[in-house]
Amino acid sequence: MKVYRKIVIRPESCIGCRSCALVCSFGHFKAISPKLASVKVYAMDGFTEMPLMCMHCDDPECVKVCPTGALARNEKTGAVEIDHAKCVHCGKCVAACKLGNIHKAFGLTIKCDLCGGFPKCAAVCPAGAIDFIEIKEEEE
Amino acid sequence: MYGMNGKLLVVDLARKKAETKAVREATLKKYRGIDALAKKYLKNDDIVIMTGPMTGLLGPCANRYGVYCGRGVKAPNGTLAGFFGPELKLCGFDGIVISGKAEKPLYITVQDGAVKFRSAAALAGKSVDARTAALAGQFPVKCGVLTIGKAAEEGCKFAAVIGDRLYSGPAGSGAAFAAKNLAGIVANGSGKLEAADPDKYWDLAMAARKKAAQSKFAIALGSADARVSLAAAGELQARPLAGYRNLERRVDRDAALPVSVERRRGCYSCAIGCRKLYRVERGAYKGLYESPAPELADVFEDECLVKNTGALLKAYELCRNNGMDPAECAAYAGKIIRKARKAGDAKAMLEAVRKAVSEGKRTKPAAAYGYDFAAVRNKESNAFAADLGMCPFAAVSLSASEIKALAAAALGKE
Repeated sequence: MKVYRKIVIRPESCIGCRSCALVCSFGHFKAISPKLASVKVYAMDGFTEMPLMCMHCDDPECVKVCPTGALARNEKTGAVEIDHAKCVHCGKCVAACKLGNIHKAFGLTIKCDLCGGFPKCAAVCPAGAIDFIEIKEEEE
Repeated sequence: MYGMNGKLLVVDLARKKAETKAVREATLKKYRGIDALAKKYLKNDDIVIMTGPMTGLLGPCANRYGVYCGRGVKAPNGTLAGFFGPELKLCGFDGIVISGKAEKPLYITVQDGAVKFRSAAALAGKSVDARTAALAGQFPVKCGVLTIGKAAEEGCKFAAVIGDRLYSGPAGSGAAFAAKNLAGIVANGSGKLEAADPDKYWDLAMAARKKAAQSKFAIALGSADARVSLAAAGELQARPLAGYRNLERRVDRDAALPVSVERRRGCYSCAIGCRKLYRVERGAYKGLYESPAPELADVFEDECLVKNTGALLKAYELCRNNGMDPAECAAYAGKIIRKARKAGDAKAMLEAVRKAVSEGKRTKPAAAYGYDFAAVRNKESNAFAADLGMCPFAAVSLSASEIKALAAAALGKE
């Protein structure tokens, strides 16, 4: 049996407070800035808001296009992570991400790394709109 | 000084000029807090919008800012919630000082250091929802919007500015904006805010957020399930909650008019989510309604003696979407319907609220609505926290020493 953990987003529960984005930027960079957060909160309509971050795709395009091998999956956490020492900020991953969940700010390429397996956004969300759940899958 | 940018935006509407004014660190330390700093720069008929040292930080609920107007209009509790204050801070400004009168109605956009004046002709006569959507549409990402409503344009004396579509400013602030031909301000910042001791601040802020979210007070305010709210609220007697409890009771028990909670709402860095979006499922008032501020949740019921939940929600909606102060509007509507011997009549109340949009005159409510710090524990620390830029509903669950430790870690010891 394959057991892994995955971020689950519930837009219907989101209260639009952006706490997820704040803890994301502060947790990683010790500064509050919407630009430094890998979580973005999008207003869908007048009533619904939705946090969105890297979905750590099964077959990530960002990893395929990275010319320096800076992007790789961390087998322990399941996260697709950036090695900032290898990253040359070429922006290919930004263009390749179909969901637009990688961006550049303050000279850095910013992307969710699941906070080493304990995502702060899920821990801090006051409405349960972001959850980090365990999924069990029967292997074929 | 950590927490403050040390810069004010000084706007002259008559000349359509904006300049940056540096604020010395000694001044920020001497006039610490929203109230003191705003009053220092408030002159004649100017408008001062001021953030607190903790506005924009991790919180819990660090989103407060004050709107102060000359000629005696000021926020009864000093502050508004929402996103505008933190966005202004992220633009690199601690506050805005607005003087002069524009020749024609205009609104101001602030994006980081860049300030632009734009014609507000297209906004005239529109609802607060439509104005906010139009102003927010200036930027591709979420931004802070402060706007007046139709009531301010049409001469209502208790017209209020509305922050981020939901949060009402002090009574008369909308009228003060309209007197300057200022239709609104939109802020979008991409700067950085830092803490004096980030590691310690992180630990304290996370603990404080958890405590605020798990307090009975917060559960009662923020629960998506009205019945859970009622159970928790039964143990609390604080004034802000009493109003909310009455409204929740109606929502929960008004079997003739099914009302459900569609969504919860939260301000910037909120740990509670006290605002809600209600759905009235059938009847004359069928539709979606934003909840009033918890501390103002019983004003229409108290002043107009109306018991119909749909009508009460509709009255708040008219106030919010036309940019009026709910407490004074309820007092004004109550006065009119009592005079006509129609107290308790929902239709008469709504008619009076609609009339207030163009004819509203300052009317003192029967009770002092707003936060009653005496009714909740830690009254001094709550007032202190609100002045720093934190929401009193989050601060209520923290002790004075916890708030002081949080402030010290965020802002430095002095």
